[in-house]
Amino acid sequence: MNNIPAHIQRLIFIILVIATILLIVDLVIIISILSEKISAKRNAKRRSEIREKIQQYITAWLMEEDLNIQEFMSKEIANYFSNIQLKFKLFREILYEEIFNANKVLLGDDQKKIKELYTFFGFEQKIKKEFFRYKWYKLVNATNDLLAIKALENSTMFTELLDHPNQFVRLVAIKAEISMGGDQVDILSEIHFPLSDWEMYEIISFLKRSQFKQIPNLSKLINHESITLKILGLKLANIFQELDLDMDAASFVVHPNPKVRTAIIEYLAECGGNEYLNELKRRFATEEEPVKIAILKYVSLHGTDDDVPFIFNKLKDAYPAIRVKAAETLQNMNSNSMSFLSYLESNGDKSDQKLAIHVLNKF
Amino acid sequence: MLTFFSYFIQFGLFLYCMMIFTSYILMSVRSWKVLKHHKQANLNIDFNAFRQNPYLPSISVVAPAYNEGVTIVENIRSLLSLGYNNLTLIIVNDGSKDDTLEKAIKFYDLEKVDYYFEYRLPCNEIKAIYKSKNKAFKKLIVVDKANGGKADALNAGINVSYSDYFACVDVDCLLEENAFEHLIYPVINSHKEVVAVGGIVWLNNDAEVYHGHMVKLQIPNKFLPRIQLIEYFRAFLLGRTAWSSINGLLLISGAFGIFHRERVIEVGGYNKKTVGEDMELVIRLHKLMLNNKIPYEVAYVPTPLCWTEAPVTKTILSRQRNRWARGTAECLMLHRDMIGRKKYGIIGMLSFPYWLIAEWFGPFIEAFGLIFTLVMILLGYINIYFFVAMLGLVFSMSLFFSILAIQAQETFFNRYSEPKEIGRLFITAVLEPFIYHPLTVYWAIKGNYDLFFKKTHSWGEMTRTGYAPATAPKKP
Repeated sequence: MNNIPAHIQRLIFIILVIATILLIVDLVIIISILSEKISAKRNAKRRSEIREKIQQYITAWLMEEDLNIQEFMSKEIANYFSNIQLKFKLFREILYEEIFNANKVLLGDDQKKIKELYTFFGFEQKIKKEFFRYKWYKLVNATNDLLAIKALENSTMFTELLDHPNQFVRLVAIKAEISMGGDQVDILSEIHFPLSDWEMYEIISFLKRSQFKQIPNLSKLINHESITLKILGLKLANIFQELDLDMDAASFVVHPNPKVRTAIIEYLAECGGNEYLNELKRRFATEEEPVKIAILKYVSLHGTDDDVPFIFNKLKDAYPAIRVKAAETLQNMNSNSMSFLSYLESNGDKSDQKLAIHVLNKF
Repeated sequence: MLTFFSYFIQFGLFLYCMMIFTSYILMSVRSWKVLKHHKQANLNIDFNAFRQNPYLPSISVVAPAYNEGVTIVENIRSLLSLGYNNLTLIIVNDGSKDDTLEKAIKFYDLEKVDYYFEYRLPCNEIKAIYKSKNKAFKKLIVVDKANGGKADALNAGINVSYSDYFACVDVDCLLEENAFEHLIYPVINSHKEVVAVGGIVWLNNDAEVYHGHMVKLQIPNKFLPRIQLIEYFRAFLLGRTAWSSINGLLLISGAFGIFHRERVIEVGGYNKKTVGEDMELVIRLHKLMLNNKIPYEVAYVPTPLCWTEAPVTKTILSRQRNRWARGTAECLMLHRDMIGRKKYGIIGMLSFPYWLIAEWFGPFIEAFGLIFTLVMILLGYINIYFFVAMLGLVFSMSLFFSILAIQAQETFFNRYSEPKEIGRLFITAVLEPFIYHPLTVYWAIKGNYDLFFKKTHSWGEMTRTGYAPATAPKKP
């Protein structure tokens, strides 16, 4: 080692230091993972014991008919847990989980009783603290919990969050605002970020779950400059069967965005008349696959015998999926068009025969 | 002169080493951030609600089967139990020589049907298409075709499919019940066109499986599968997660992934001339979208959704690695025009050069570096202390990434509960650089040799040992 030049010795020293540091880091990670695993294994039994007791206790409270929560607590709580237990973090964590698990599966009065438990143990304060945490998921989880247990109080904080860069925060803010009684369309109109399909599904299913009979003023959303809000508006109009809309449907049919065109055609198919039949048939050849499928659906719902040649023509489309949809349109439009399909099954060329069999057998 | 040459090579090797480690560090940091976000996001997505949703894109699962007679009934049962609402299951019997088709016909009450389809992608003759008479299996389609290999069978399945997306799945893989709900999420949550989505494939050797469902997962008992498990942790958790976050993913595992059906048809389907058909398809999809300047995404879901059995013997593992090496080389050569081209963005400027240097040339550089250093030590041009110190650094770094990958598994998925099992995994990680890594380097070099000098293009046989005896799950 003495023969080695000084600069090489220094380099060897630096390399060895780096290697040693890395090995120490490895060791620390290994020890921390293993100790965590061992303690988790030890805690697992304790957790399940606590969980079982808490479940028994919640069931007893749900079965209780005579006492109010204060009386029940003063009488029953000692049968299940000690006051010291109630202060333990692990205990409160499991209690919180079980209250929300029960809330998910219960309805009506039972759900109200669960909410009383939640209030009694002061979990409201715990959740509110989460609102002021830096981490986005703490805020989202807290709001979702409040929504689930129907304990969301009026607050202005969610209005600002409608434009939050994180989509989960935005989504939960929309739900919170709507739950607090805000006008659905006004709230949705505030969103400046484009909505993804998933966000639209979430909003639609939330509105359906909230049991709104109708969404007033949907025209505002449909005529919004944001493309995705326009699409959401049309989808909502379709689902909630809003017939009285103030919109220029003709301009949407030729809208540059194919998703808008698909949404308006699907809406017109379900809620409109046959006035767009010729226009849509004319546009068919230049459209993209999803729009073509929407047009065929429109034709199947509003078409007449006069449209059979048009559909027949589509049985030779370049895309097999469109051919199958066209054959399905024949099958569904009316009894005359159906008989054309049956004719194809017996008298068409081999390819048409196969197509007819495919559709008639619902493959 | 020799001294200068020795320094020059040493400097090159040192640079290579530093480049690889730096890229691993960057990937690990990036992956950690993505995994953390993904974990929190997943808690706020109701995947069960997807199951009932009829508006989600439809998916056809295309599962090629060749000589799977022993397990075909169980495998189909497992795939049929997937919960996705808009799902069709297409089993492609690729000219099996055993009773694969007969067993499927008998058990699932199949009959020949006049199913309408077109040969939009090249594939060997489709002899017949079967559907079940039993309404309970109405999602099932069995295609019987002349043997043509995996890529050919997948092309046949795509020809028969009418879904928006198709999934390529190895028929013997076990999928999580909500695998497709997870895979479709990036598709419906992106503002760009999602042409492909991959998921994590993990190993389940020695797991207890009952009726196509995993009852108990455990760390593999044997050394070889256990060491591969660490490799999978590194590749899927630290590697692909990072690449996908910058839309630079070049490979979606052939065992499990979904693809945009029309886009795949547009690029000509699977290439039958390469053994790396999965990677080659992804590259062609990148190329198509980048050439046409269409905003797109090749997405990745960092959640373990697919379970497969790792090779347990050196012979079979060597064949698999040989094939992977050949596949990588073939794909990179086929699409060499993308390397370093600005037009191809991240793919051309980052992913391709990385794959070229780290994945294809890596084994050659490593082998050359080791031999060169040993020769130089013998000739007295390199100091033995320096060599030992460098060896220590390389070992500590490679161990660090293995430990980090295990830590990522623990932090974000925590699929293994026994501390003893995790302990064994750590010991395996320590042994890996000495016992296993030199072998993988050798197999990769051998694969390249076979490709260029023996012109080998075959898959090589892969035998499976099967899961632990199927027993009824114990009641909790």
